[in-house]
Amino acid sequence: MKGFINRRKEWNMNKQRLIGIGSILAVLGIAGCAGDEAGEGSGNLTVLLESEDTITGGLDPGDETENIKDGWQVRYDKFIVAVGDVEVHLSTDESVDAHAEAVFVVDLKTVPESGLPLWNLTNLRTGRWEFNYATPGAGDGATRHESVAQADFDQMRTNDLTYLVVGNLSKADGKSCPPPSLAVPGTATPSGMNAAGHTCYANTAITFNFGVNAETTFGPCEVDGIPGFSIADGSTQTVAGTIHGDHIVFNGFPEGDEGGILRRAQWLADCDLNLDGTVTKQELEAIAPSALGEIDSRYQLGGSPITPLNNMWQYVTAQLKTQGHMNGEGECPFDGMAHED
Amino acid sequence: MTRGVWATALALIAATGCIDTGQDQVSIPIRLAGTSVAAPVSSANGWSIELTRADLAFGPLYLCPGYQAGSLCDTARMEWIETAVVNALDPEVDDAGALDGVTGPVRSWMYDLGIASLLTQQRPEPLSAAQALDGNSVRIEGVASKGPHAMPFLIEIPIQQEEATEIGVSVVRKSGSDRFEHVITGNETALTVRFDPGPWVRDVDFDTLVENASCTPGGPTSVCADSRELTCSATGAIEAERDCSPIGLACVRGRGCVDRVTFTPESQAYRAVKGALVAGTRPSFEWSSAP
Repeated sequence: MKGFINRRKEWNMNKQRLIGIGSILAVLGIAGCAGDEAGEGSGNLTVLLESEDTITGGLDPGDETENIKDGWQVRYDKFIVAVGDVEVHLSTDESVDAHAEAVFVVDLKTVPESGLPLWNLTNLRTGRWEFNYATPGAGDGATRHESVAQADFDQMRTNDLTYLVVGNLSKADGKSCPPPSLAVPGTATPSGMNAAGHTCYANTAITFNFGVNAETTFGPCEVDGIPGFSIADGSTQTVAGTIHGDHIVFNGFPEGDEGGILRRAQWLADCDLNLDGTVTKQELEAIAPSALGEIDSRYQLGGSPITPLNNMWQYVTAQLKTQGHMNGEGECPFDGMAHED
Repeated sequence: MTRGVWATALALIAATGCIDTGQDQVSIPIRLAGTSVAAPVSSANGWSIELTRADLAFGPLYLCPGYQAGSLCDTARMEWIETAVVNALDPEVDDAGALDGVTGPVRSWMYDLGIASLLTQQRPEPLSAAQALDGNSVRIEGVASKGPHAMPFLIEIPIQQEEATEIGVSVVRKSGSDRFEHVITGNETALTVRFDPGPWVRDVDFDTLVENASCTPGGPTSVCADSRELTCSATGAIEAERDCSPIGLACVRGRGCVDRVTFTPESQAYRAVKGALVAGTRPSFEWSSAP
């Protein structure tokens, strides 16, 4: 798995370099003193939906960069997202734009490694374009993809959800150390304390089923500082909106390179207040970040897209709002741009 | 590699002399202010907090052209690279120098709390304001009260990026929930950044510090029975007893009579104040312009 992730990173880096060099050539090709004129001719754009391999393969414990550092393993059973509303603007003239409004509800667990082509934009002028997309609520005309069961789609649409994430944490010697003021341990036997002095209890397998409204716009996206994509005359360009699956276990809200971030899942285990092996929305809503001993100096919440950050359900929502990327690791500012209705 | 080639490309484009940025250099005074907290602050579990000191090390501050600060703000439009200690209980504005930059829209901000993390340095560096607070970003003093309990307290926290977080990025950044958009024209007479310390302590749970316990066999050697400090024997007998209140002290769980509670990094209070400063209620940014 680690090798696979590393190879994927290398592939992504090479792909990004090629895109970058192509972009430079395109920019040099179209740069002229008129400043805002695109080249002549047109091309097409195919937009793929991509899943990060943390969604399809899960996250393993270990010491490698991509691993979870506190021994927990995470696996997703479903990672359903409402995604679409692709909007592109000619970089040199924002009034020249194109829009693929369709929103699809897709289970990212099933998306092939090569990506899922869902949107096409034709007859785009040659030149460099900005790329934006959204993960809206599913309640406003979203289309069910065949990867999603009708019942799950109905739940997404009825509740206007952006994500339906079903999965589990596991660790052979796993424990939950819920905040003492909120814990309902029942007859569970204490098993030590965490660093904050919170009593811990054995809890080796924990499930979660989160239906989340995390409506977010992403873009203008860039890869290594190079914005969007280029269209050459007569060509069909391909870009991918990539959804990551590991932000929920990040120890912060990185806005650039994710390399410095650590992945930890103990906080989620500690949110199982009644120790029944399931973390619920109600439990997360009851817990302020400061109540968890885990959210200490190892965490940096300063970049949260939601403020004030009052409870751990907001924390989950905030992390899901940062998961949209472009072409693998390309960065997309979130919620910066108002999309047209 | 890509960045280098890209930079070369941009340099080539720039060398053609075709780009007219249309920007003017500007310098705008920055003023810092607090908020008068006349009434006690209500905090978790019915505690009431009277603040007597709330000093914050603020800065540097960067205003960015894009909607998202952080790593995506490689070049700030305006910057104030100084730091200053803000008395957050004082509503009077203090001049703190000037924001320097160029005209144009600013849509996001990011700042540090006196301790800056730079990519060129392995450790975040306490700047002058943090140095004035003994290396901390914030110093808060006050008294928390509830029923018979009166708990003087001190919280001092250095807030900085750690090796395990995101080195080189400002520690507080505008979120999607924050509204901030302004076009710098050069007509601005000041930017006032105003802080309200009330929300900093609103989530502190002082219940974690008090107890109404008695001595038990094999239990702690010191417990609090409300305001009384009990010294316990191994068999659970009370060896000594004193009331902390009449001597101006507070009985704190695990510590007995103390004149003031000082919170440690493992405490809920420490996490609550830090969380409030980096992901809680924001300061207000108020622009003043010439008529």
